Amino acid sequence: MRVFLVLILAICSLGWDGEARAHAVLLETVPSDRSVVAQSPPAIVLRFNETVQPILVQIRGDGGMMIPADLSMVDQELRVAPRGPLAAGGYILSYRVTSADSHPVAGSFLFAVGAAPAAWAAPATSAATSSGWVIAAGISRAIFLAATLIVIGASIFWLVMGGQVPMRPIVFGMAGIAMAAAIVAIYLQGGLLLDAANVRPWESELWRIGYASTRGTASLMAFGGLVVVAGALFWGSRARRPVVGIGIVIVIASFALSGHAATASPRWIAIPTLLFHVAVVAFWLGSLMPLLSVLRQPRALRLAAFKRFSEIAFFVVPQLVVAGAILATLQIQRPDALFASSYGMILALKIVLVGALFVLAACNRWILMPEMTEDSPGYADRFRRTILAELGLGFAILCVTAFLSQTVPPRSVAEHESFAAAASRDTGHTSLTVAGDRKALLMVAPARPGRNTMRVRIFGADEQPIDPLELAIELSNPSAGIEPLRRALASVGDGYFEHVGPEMSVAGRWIVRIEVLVTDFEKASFENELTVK
Amino acid sequence: MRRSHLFAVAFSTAILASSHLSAHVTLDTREAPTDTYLKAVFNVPHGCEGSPTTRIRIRIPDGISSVKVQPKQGWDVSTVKTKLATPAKGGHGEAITETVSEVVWSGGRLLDEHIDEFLMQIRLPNAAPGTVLYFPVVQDCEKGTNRWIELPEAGKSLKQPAPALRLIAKP
Repeated sequence: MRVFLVLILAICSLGWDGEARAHAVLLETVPSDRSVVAQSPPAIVLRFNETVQPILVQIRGDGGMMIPADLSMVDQELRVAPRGPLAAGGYILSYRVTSADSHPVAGSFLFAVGAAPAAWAAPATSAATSSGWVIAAGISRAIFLAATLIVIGASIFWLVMGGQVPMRPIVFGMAGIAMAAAIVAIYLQGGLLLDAANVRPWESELWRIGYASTRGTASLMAFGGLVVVAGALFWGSRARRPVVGIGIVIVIASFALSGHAATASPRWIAIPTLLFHVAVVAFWLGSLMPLLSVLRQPRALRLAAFKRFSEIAFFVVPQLVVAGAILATLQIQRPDALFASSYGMILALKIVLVGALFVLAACNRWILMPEMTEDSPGYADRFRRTILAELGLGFAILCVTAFLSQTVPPRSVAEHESFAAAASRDTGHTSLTVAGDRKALLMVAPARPGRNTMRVRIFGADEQPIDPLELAIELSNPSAGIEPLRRALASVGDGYFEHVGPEMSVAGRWIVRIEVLVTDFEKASFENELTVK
Repeated sequence: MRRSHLFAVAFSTAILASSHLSAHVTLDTREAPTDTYLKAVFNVPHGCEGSPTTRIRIRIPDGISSVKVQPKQGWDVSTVKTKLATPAKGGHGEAITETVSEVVWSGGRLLDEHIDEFLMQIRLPNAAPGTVLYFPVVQDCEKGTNRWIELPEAGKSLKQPAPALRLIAKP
């Protein structure tokens, strides 16, 4: 009896000893999480703060293939020795061990042999969007804007003049350039969204993602409108004017589908203002080229054309200023933000350039127009020069505008919409989980084994996104024996948090636990399931 | 033999129960009567994975109308006060317009291998017996932070639970 009692006390004290130091803690692993080793290590080492008993420890390679390994415990180190050398590639090691207090401790980590696998590319934070794609998309956008606005503006001018001014062949050339740029924009948008240093430029995925984005839809619509306009101008008969008008409306309307200017709230102000802005800018810049050719036309037509342009411009340009101010206010909210962000700085540059354009326009109207009516000698050359300067300045403004639409308030609403589109397709995953009065939106694309983009947004009781202090996810796959792998998510703006990584390397049912630090003293967690296939 | 058997089981249970507390930041008292004063003792059993504790912040739950912190050698005490939406009545009938919502001990250094206690006197609310009050604690260390802020959740074992106090009927 006494022996029995002593035994129980001894066991208890052992238990107490373990408990007092809390549960076992994994101190370090060699190789460490997300590290790359040049050659296959003889063993992967997990160092704990105390001796542990392995329950289930496994290594899986690319595609979830199980790697046979032997386990041994040396002091407080658990050594996992693969039976053969590991081939180059990415691996996930999952462990479940028990410490002296019989409390299980589990987790997973990644490592790679040889070189970092393609699926490991660095998480794409908004700032890190590879500049190659941004520059290419910006240039393509500037070309698209310039060519489209010139075609549309020249067509509007042609309509306003009752079809009397000649249509220069350069307008058809511009139409061709605009259509090509619209198509290229779909591909470049795919590049921007996947943002992948490691996505090869020829992958059809780029087209697919770009096509699914709002920019893709807008580009196709603009393309269609341009075909109508150019076709009607080129082949049309007398009845072609309404058709040209329809084409113009289609192209201008396409601007409402994409971009942060169209998606700013309230949209009922933003969209009409934007479309008006686009139409007036198109008329202004697009009229310049026909006006250049009109300079060589007979005096009557020449004067009529310039008068008409001048009248309309005098009427709409002040409204253009108002529209621009409204659009800028919707984006910037406060005047001091104009110099606080890179977006604000680019916008300020645009305003300066537009100011210079107004000076040129005023010079045309109040100095050169009277000279033209009076037929002063050499006025045509001066007029040509200022119009060319206006065109050059206009193109500069469009370049700035194009980059404005790329730099944007980090990761624009439109981009989130297109990511949401990718995540809600049959291969992606989107779910909303409720915990208390909060909701968590989880989007995963493409939800296939390998590299995945995971994006989370948390909503408060008032249905508005909240900005938590920290957000992390724990990924586990119980059926494949993969223990929780924890990853911190980075804010990508607008309440979205993101992680890009290869953790979900195995097909099957994954549990995604979202852990949110709402305030210093408050945590919320959400549990989601998704199928990777 | 049966008696000693029982004794052994009881003894081991007691040790296991108390030992379980020692791993977390906890309140000494688990239960207290409603509408009474309580000397609340917060036990800090270790640092953050070996790193010494340098600051303890305790969030005071709503309904606690009086908080008096016991000064502590080597630590600076400060409180964060919040205005009440509706003034409450104090222990002597006076109107209370603001309460302490957070107590902070800072400037000290508590090694991981040492333990310490952080004390305050609080007046418990006159709430229904069975109500559980949570006192989330943020433990800042030279390296890292422990957040003892988790609230119970069905089917989930908590890694860092918030210290809790259960109100019982006044005797």
